[in-house]
Parts: sequence; structure tokens; C-alpha cells
Amino acid sequence: MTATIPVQAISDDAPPPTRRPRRWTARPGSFAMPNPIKMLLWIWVVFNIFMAVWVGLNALKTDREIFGAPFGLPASPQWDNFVTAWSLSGFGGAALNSAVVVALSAVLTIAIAAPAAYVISRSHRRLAALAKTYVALCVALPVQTILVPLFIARSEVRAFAIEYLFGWWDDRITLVFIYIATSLPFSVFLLTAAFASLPTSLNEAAEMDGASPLDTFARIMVPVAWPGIKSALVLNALNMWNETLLVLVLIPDPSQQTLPAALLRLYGTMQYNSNWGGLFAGIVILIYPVLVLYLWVGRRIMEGLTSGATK
Amino acid sequence: MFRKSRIGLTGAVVALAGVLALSGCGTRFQDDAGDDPTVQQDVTLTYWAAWSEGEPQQVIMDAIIEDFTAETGVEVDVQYMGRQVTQSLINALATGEGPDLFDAGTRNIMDFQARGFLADLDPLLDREVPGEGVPVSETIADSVIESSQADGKLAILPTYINSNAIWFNAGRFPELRETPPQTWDELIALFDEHKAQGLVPIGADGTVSGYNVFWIFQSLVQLGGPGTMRELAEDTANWDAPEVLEAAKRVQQLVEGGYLDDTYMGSKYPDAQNRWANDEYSFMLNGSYMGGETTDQQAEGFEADTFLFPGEGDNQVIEVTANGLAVSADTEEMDAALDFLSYAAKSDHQTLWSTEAGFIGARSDVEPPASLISLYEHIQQADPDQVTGAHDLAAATHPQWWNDIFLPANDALFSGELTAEAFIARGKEDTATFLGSDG
Amino acid sequence: MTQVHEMSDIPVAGTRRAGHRGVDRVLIPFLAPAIALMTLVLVFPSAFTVLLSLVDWRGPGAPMEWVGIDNYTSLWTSRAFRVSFTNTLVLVFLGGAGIFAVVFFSLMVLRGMRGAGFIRSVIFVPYIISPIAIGAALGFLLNPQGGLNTLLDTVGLERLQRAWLAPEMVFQMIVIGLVWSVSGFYIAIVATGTDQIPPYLYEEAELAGASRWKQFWLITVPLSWESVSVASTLWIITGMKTFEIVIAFVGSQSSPPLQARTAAVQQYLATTGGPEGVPQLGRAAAVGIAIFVVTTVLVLILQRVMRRERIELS
Repeated sequence: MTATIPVQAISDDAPPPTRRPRRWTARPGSFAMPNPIKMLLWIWVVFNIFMAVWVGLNALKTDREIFGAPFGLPASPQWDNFVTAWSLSGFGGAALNSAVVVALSAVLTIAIAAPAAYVISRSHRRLAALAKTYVALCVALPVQTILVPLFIARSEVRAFAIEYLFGWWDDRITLVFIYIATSLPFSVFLLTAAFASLPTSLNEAAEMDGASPLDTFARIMVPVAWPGIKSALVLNALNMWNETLLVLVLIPDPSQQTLPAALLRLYGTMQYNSNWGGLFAGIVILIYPVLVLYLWVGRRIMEGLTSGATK
Repeated sequence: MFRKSRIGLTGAVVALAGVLALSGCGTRFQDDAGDDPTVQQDVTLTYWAAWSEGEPQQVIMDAIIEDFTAETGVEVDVQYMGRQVTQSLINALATGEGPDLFDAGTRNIMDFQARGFLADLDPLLDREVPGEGVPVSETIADSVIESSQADGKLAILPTYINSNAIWFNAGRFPELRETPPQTWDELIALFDEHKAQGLVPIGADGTVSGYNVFWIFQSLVQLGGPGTMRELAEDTANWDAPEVLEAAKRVQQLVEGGYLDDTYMGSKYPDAQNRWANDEYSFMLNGSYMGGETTDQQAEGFEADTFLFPGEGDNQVIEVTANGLAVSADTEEMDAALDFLSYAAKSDHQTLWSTEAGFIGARSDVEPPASLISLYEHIQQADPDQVTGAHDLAAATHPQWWNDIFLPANDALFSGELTAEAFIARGKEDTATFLGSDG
Repeated sequence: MTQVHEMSDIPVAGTRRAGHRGVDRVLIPFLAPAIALMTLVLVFPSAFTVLLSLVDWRGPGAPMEWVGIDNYTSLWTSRAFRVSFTNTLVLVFLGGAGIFAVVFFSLMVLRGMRGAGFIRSVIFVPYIISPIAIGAALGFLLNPQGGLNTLLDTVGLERLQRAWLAPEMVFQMIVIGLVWSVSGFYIAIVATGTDQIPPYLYEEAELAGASRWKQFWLITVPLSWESVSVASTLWIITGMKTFEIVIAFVGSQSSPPLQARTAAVQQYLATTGGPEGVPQLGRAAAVGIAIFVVTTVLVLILQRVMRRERIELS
């Protein structure tokens, strides 16, 4: 295929481009739209920050204050809300479950998806094209579609593992498997784009040096495609971190469930007992650490994302 | 080099799998010995509770279990799974992995019975409540027993009751305690009176379709008797009954009478009920749980109380939705399970549902919270023929019709989008399509 | 369109040589684990779902009754399904238009703007927060006497006050809420392409007198086409599954109002039977299959529309 850059309009009325020092001064002909858009973006930013602060304030209010004065300050901070939320929610154990399940699933997903994406992007065999279509179909498959079969399979796997294999099983292992499988199509899809954008000259050079295909992949392609791989990893981890439906269906034991399920349970408890300050405190306990973590590694997450599919 | 090690690993995995498969075929790690029922001290009952850690209901169950284990030596292995338990429970019971004991109620025992999940608890009725010298049957009112049965057999030990009624602040309108409106016209007159005084007579959290439906539900069952709403799903001809039009006209009358504020359809639970507790609305038709839910929001001098939705002629239908403990049909510890239920039926334990959780206790001699006394008395005296379950059991028996046809149609009626006639036309049409494609 | 210049100073690696024999040797071992796992966990269960969609079944323990295509025909005659499906399509197209408008406009102004990284990070935040938490907070904001109306009141815009969550408004709120919470994500995805564009292209365009607007359409869009295509495919897939945000907006006390339902909500209602009901798994499976088929068709159409020669800079 030939690749050209459709910048004809620019080059039509411009002399052949030459490098010049950077200059960003606005020209009279510049489009006037950007400024209002900039303002809207800042309003957006302020709104997001406001929401985070507002949730924090509500966590310190009494129920009357939450409903009576949505934007008021708490008369006296109700630190009790946090005690209630923490002791009822089981967030401690749930956080540990989340961390282990998400870390394992996210890493394994990439470990399985990257090689597949690599060969799909590079091979010209019919099989690779078929695999690409297969993956694309799987991407479109909503997880709700397979919820019931998965549940039934869960019981079977559990019974089989206990009775015939190990004498022991943990539903969290099932969850990891299912997280991996459900994240695979999207990951392969994303990584295929990442590998495809790498210059084919890399392969040729490696092969000329006599590197085995595995070496070429592990020592050359993976490092070069690393930003894209990292972004896939981060996206998967984020999705898994917030996943609720599968946890609820596949893990009956509350002590084995992850954070979103714990939050939902707390939501139920607080709602039926009308402890709204406690609910907000639970939300704060859940999202503030994520926010802090995000502020801390945020640039890196964004880098991971934005240096994504195309190196 | 890479290749070689990979093949080695693959080979090892295949070999391991083979070994496991071979060794696994004959032997099970867990064998099924130990079915000997004579070893009493080893008995453990498993219980999946629909409550979460920290709720009053959890505290109550813990107290009952502790007492039971101390007295009998039988352990109860309890898991507080929260309200999301239902889905897991259905699947687990069906695959034989379920617990011995679980929470159930009028709303789902018919379905559970149809699936064969429920042990027949009729023997429980004749058991003596430990230390009280009376059988369980004598501690519970007939209307409550009626609501605890599926296929004519006792399905749960009822522990507490839900119902619905019109809530008001008796501190502000004390006269309504003695002289509540007895007919629909009196009720409307009362609303008019409040409206004339510049009050907003009715509050509603209009985003909750299951609450909006209370008005048509009550109107239908009062005018046509228990089952009138449920039967609308069963035959389109039932929509033509005059009482159905009459009931829909009542709802239309409420909407057009301006008894609600302008924004009720956009109110997200629990905003409206909190505003009611703050005296911004005079009345709300809602579940018996609403008083307890709003306790912390109630204004100074607030005395939550209820009166019944007015009956029609001799009809005074009342919702009695029992909640309680069920035993799995698959249990191997039926005897211990019945023991446990009879312990749970003790006065000390049944009282906790009222004192700790703020419900109407299922046991007749349990005094309910002050706000529910009048409702409790009506339930105790109710004629079993004038009793219906939550939402007239329409949601439990015809879930798809309920979610896809009736609730949306009623939302349209309750929001003023449809007139009574248009509501009936739409309900009838959609029901016809539903029955046509379903049958 | 007259001529297409090959710009001489941009190295373009476009031609692919046939026959990477090396890659082909690891083709099967590299593909096998992924394909096997997807087949086992996704494809086999979906086949089971197809079977389920042909029966009437309330779930384990209940009898299964063969009904053929009744579950599908009843979908088309059901008002609830028609409304929810229309909603889903409106959401995918209108919400998509909103999201990509946000994406394009922000990428247009963010380039070279002060604080661009910060803005992008903060706009991304809602995406990492649990939808349950977001729904709870927004609900308090949109109540009739909640935050938004209070705010309108204090700034003297009482006439703009609405019952934001009432049936006639709630779906618009959901679309806006969705655009708000996911735009940051799509900005990030599309930015994977735009960040790779060498700055000198813009500098040269600037010198040539091209406006920002022109630069955007002639440089940014074509050179990030691949990532726009990835992002729009992803949006169709996720948009068609929209579920949590609806539940979060209207709460889970009861079935969501018809006006707010999406096809996935409809499927959830059938799967669980709603707050008090019993599951209708056959019907739920049919809805799932319908969602899958429409998603696939939309993705294929999109791929066709978006297809163009890949531009590769090295």
C-alpha cells in the first residue's frame, strides 16, 4: 500500500515547507473559536474539582444538612461518618481483593494479548486475518450476554476443581480467568494497532541479524511498543478496578468481593438505614485514595495512554 | 533457546494435567461420608442472610444465633451477603450449593416454591416455642400466616411485616389519628382542605416507579378486591372492568387536582420522603418502612403515623407482606433447621424486629414502634380474604409485564402524560401484545 | 482534488514486504492462548446464550420450555424494548456526536495551550471513579431542590429550574452525564495519535497561513485517523452496552422509568426480573443477542466508512 499524507491543501498554497523556529503567534486569519472553548474546558475542570470537594464536604455533614443545604458547610464535622462507613463496608479486605485480582488479571491479559496482537499485525497468513476478525467479533460481545452461562460454568468449575483436581478452589481464581478472557479482545485490538504502526524495517533488521522470531518479539518489538502496551495495561486495570457486575454474580462470599461490590453493599446498607453522610464517607474512602494516586502517577497514566497505540 | 524452554514447559503442563486427570477420575478429594444423623454435636447449619454487616437485622440474627448455639450446641455458619444475595441464592439453590437457611418473603416464595427450593414448614406450626408452652401457630395472626404460605403450605417463619399506608405527622394533624378519612371522597376533601391552607398535600419520589404505583395499586384492590391489579396481566378483558377505569380516574384526579408539587416526577429517592419528614408535604402513600427511614430527618415534634387508604363499601384490603426465614428443600438438617426456627420464634427474639429494626413484628404480641401501631392493629384484625401481598403480587408473578408494561404505563398516568382512558387503552393494547407473544 | 504531493522531507514507510516467514513460524503458539481463552470463556458461553434465547426459562431450578423464536418476535412487538432500543441508538449517535465534538474541540485548543496536561488529566478523572459513586453524587445534584436548582436560584436564573430527573428530561441528563464522564477517556485515546504528530508540520502550516481550524482538519485529523477509528469503534461498543450510568442516575429502588432505559438495562431487568421479580433468562438472552448483532453491524459499517490508507510516519 502506498502511504501519502493528504496535506495537499496546505502545500498547494504554500511554498515547499522548510524548517523554521517555532512560532505560535496568532495570525489575523486564525479561527476565532478556541477562546470560548478554552473557557468551557476550564469550567469543566472547575466542575470536576468542585464535585470532588463537594463529596468530601457531604461526608462530614449530618443527614439533615445534606438535604437541607446542599452547598452549605457542615456545622460541626461528623467524623463519625467515616468510622461507620469503614467499620460497615469491609473496604480493607475488599481493597486487598481488588489489588490482587486486578494486578494479576491485568498483567496476565497483556502477557497473552501482546504475542497474539504481534502476529496478527505482522503475519500475512490467512489464519492471522481470520484471527483478527474473530477478535473483532469478540470485542463487540457484551459481557451481559454471557452472564448466565458464566454463572453456571462457575459452579461447574468450582465443583470440578474441588472434587477432582485440588480439593480446594477459590472463586477469585475464576474471576481472574474471566477478567482476562473478557479483556483479551479489546487488548488484542488495541495492541494490534500498536504493533502495526511499528516500522516493518525493525523486523527485517532483526531477521537479518539472525534473531529468532521469539527474540525479535521479546527483545525488539515489545520494548519498542512498550508505551502502547503500557496504555493497554492501564486501561484494563482501570476497567477491572470498577467492574461490578461479574463480581456480584461470580463471587457470593462478601469477604472475597472487590471494592465496587463493597461500595454497592454499603450503598444498600446506608440507604435502607438512611445514613447518607455515611454513604458519602464511604465514597470518599473509596475515591480519594484513587484521586491521590492519580495525581501522583497521573502524568504517567496519561503518558501511558497518550503514547499509546502509535509509538 | 527460548523455543526449547517453552516446549519443556508446555510438556510439563500437559503431563501434569494428564496425571491429575488420571488420578482424579477415580478418587474424589471430598468424600460423601458422614451422613450419620446421630452425631448431633457436629451439626452445622449454613445461613445466607440478605442483610449487610452493621444493619440492625444483622445484629438481631447474630443474637438469635448466639442464643440458639448456646442452648443446643448446633453451630450456625452465617454469611451476611446483603440484598444482592437473591441472584446468588437462586443459582446456588438450583445447583445444590445453597445454604440450609435463607431469607425469603411473600414477594418471592411463590417463585421459590415453583422452583422446588422450599422445605414444607407446616410441621413448624405445631412445634412448641421453646420455654413458652405454646405452638408457633398461636403466636402469629392468621393474615400473617396467610402471607407466609406458598401452595397452601407454610414457606417461611415470618419475622416482620411490610405494608403500605398513608403517612402523616400526627404531631401536626392529631385529629387524623381518631378520624382518618373513610372514603375516597373524604380523602380528596382532606387534600383540598390542605391545599386551601397553602400546604402541599402529597409528596412523591416520582423517579421510583415502584412507589408511583402505590396509588393505582390501592385504588384497584380497594375497588375490585385483592388480585385486581395482578389479573390485569392475565386477560385483556380484565382491563374493561368498570373498577379499573374508576381506579385510573382516581389517579388522574390526584394529578389534575394539583395536590402534588411541580417537580414530583423528578424527585430522586429519598428526597421527597425527607421533605415530608421536614413538614413540607402533608401526606405520602408509602411502605411501612418509611417512618423508620426518615427518623433522622424528622422535624421537631414530628410524630410519624399512618392511616389506611380508604376502603370501598365492605372492602378494606390491606397489604401484608411477610418477611422471614426459609429452609432449603435440599437441607440434610431439617430437624436442626426447625429447631432454629422455633428458637427464632421466641418472644425475646421476635421482639427485636420491632425494637431494634423498627418493623412491625410478625408475632402478634410484639408491640410495634409507635408510628406503626395503627397499621399493626389493622393487620392483626384483617380478614385473610382481604389481604394481598406487595404490589398485589403482580411483580412477583408477572415480572416482565410488570416492568415493561404496567410500571411504564402507570408512570405515564401518574405524571399526567396519559388520561385514565388513554392509560387503559395503552395498558390493554400492550397486554394484548404481551399475551399474544407470550402464549 | 488535483494532485497529491509526496512530501519529500517526511520519511514514509509504507510498503510492506510479503512473507515475514519468521513471524509465521510463531503464528500458532502466539495466537493459541488468546484464541483458546476467548473461545472457552466468551464464544462457547455465547453459543449457550443463543440456545437460551430460544427457550422460556426462569433460571436454574425452573423448567426450560422451547419457544423457538418467540423471544425475538416478542421483542419487536414490545413497546418497552422498542423504546429502550431507540434510546440506545440515540445515545450511541447523539452521545457519540457529543463526545467526539468534545474530543475534537479540546484537542484543537489544547495543543500548545498552557495547562493542557492538567486539563486533560482532570477531565479524565470521572472515568476512573466508580459509576455508582458518580450516580449517587449526581442524583443529589439534580434533585428538584438539589444543587443545580439551588445554584440557578442564587444566580437569578429561576426560570431555568427543572425537574431534571423527570421522565421527559432524564434521558437527556443521562446522555450529558455520559459525555461528561467518558469524554476524557476518548480524548486520551485520540491523543495517542495526535501526540505523535511532529510539531514542525504545524509550524509549517502556520507559516503557510493556515488557520487553526484548517490545521486541525488537514493535519490533526488525517494523521490521527487510526486512533480516531479505534476510539469510535470503542465508543460504539461501549455505548451499545450502556447500563451502569442509567442505574446510577435513577437508583435501583425500582425499575428505571421507561424513558431512561437502554437495551442493556432492559436486558438487566429480564436477567434479574427487576427488584422484586423473577428472572426471564430466555428473553434476557434474546436481548443480549440483539445488542450483539446491532453492535457488530454498526462496527462493520463504521470500519467501512473509516477505512482509508494508513499513514505511517517513522
